[in-house]
Amino acid sequence: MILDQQEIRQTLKKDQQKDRILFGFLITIVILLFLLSLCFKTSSPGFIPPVETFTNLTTAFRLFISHLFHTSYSLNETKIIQSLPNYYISLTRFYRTIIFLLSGMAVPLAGAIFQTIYKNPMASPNIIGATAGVQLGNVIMITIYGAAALYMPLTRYGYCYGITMVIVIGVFVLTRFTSGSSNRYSVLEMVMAGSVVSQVFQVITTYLMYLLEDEDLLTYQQMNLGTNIRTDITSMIIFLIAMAVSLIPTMLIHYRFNGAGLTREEALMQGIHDTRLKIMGQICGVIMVTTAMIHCGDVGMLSMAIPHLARYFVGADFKKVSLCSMLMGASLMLLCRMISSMIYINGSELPVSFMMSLIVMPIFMVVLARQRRGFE
Amino acid sequence: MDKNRIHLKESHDDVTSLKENEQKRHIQINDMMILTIIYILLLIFSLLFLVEYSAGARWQFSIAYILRIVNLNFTNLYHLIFGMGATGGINYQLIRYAIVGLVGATLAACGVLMQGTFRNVLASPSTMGVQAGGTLGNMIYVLLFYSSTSTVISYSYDDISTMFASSTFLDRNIQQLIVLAGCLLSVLFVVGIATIAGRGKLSTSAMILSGMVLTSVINSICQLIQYYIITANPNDVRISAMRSLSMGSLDRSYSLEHLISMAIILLPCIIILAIVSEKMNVLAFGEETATTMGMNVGLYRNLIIGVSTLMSAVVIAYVGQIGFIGFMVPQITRKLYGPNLKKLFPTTVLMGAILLTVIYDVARVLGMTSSMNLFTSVIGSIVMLYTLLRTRRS
Repeated sequence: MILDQQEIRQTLKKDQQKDRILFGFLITIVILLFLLSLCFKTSSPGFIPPVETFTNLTTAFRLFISHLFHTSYSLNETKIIQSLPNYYISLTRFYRTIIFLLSGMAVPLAGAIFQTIYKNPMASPNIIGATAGVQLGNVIMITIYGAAALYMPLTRYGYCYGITMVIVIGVFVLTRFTSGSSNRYSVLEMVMAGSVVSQVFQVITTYLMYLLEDEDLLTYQQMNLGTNIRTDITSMIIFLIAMAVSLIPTMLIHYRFNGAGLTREEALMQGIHDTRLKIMGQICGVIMVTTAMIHCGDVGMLSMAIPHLARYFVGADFKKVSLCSMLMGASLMLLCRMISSMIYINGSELPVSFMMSLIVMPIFMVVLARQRRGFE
Repeated sequence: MDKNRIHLKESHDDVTSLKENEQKRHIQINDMMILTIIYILLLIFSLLFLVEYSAGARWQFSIAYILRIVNLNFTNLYHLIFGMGATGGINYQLIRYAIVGLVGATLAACGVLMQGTFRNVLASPSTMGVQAGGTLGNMIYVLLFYSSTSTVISYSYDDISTMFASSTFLDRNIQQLIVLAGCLLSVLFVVGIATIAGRGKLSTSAMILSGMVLTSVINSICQLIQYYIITANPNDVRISAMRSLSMGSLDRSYSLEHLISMAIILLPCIIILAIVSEKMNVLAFGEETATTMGMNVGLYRNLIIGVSTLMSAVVIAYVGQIGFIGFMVPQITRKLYGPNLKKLFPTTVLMGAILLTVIYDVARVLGMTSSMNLFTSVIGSIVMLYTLLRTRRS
């Protein structure tokens, strides 16, 4: 018996060591990619040396602080900025990198949440119509405001979030009605309701697209594929608020999230309020995916594939899966962004979302083929 | 004595039940007759009074117009009905209405049987990626065969007729064939993935999920290609050609050839489904009960999925995507005629033809025949909301 316990302890220790090595490795990769993508991009000034980037960013920070506390540093702000040639470029790079990092973390996390709740390998907020809502919001913006829609982030966010909310509520209500008297949401019915509702919205989107003029259509595609990423202060603040609203509560309750995968009786036995957990997780997941989709294009594929990859390395524990998939997603997102910024077709960069689906699709296929359990 | 009495009573019951059955059959035939008469009246009405609201072509194809201007002699009438030059006579309108009816019947038939097999109101072939494959096929066609700039060349009538005579069937129908191939290949792909994922067993939810994934991937590819075409030249004609498939256009010039090549595939499929539909009632008890009652569930399910996929692929190739007919019509007919598939199936088929004809007429009056999908989706979502409210009240 004593020997057995010792063995168990040893294996636990080994597991912990393995996890430590894995997480350390992933964190270093994310940090490296973050630093690289601050300096590296193919468009006009090309590679900015790390030292210069660092001075640019610290100058920005010092300026911000001095504006905040009215110190003398910000008095000759224009001179300071003029002395640094690549100041604004490295600032926008910083913003973009933060956008990609955070959405790369959020999207797989949302996928992991949905997969745990529905106990199904392919449930994701993407399926229940987050994409259709954002697309319809973009089209409505452009039909009303034309090309000026690119410079009206606040109104655009209002439309996108509002329509996505309508779609998601519609899907849930429809699933409730089609599944009959039982209160549990079955995934198959969810998917079908999602496809039907998003079909209605996509038809409206296509019809509005049909009426658009060609230049407006170009603007729409830019918005939708995420080649035109806004980095002004309003959209950054809204992005950060949305991410904080969705990421922080999820991280706070992610220790309990294994309970969401239990059946109702088991959860009640262990003192976990599973309904509250599930509703909270779903709301946060939809917010995350919608935000990511508004800011960097259609990246919903990430939410399906990455949690499986994480589960392959660390097992089924949600604590580890969520952390691991966040790190993996962030690194993959930054990598995709760097690769896609190198490829030029027709004088413009390849959209990140396309690069993403190119990379994620094979992973997804392998995951689908290696699935141990059946789907039903 | 007692035994005999009981026996007599039983036989009496049998006789009454037989009579009831006969009466029911009569009612069924009457329902079918009523629906057919409604459909024929609708056709006559639309041919007589409906007008084409496009510039210059107003009234041109309706019978009312023809009766007003032509002094009736038989040669004139013959020319009017069977083609008068390039614009065609009433027969072109008849062909168009026949195609509309066929499409409606097909979609409704697919819808009612898919809902029966999956036992879900929302099931349809488009959830399995048929439409995405069609989009991809259409895009390939546009990229290969379309010129990027529109050139206006005026042909004389003789030129057109010689061009038409020299072209083969393949030349005229290449777009439809490529779209059809795209649809079928994508469904094969989806079925393949689902079988691999289910370890040799074909599970329906795996099929639907992989269909969704395929749809999203193909949509992103299409968007990317459209984006690059627009960035190269904003006034490219190919964009609208790519988008036309998803809106369900009944606006093309259909000829007898189109009708025949559609009907050759669709009518046998509808007949097969009609034969199968009588057996599908058993499946309402659940899969296990149906299996114990001696029904090969897997075979019938695969047959229905295959046939309805083929049917919707043909519809997508020739007309484009028209959603929600397969959802709406069974809802209506189930309210009217009850859930028995033996009766439900033929009435649903006829009702589908009637409903799509009505919708097409409304779209013609409003001048929006090139975007039928919008119409059907809006009406379908209203019907869906109505049914939801009804179920909630009960």
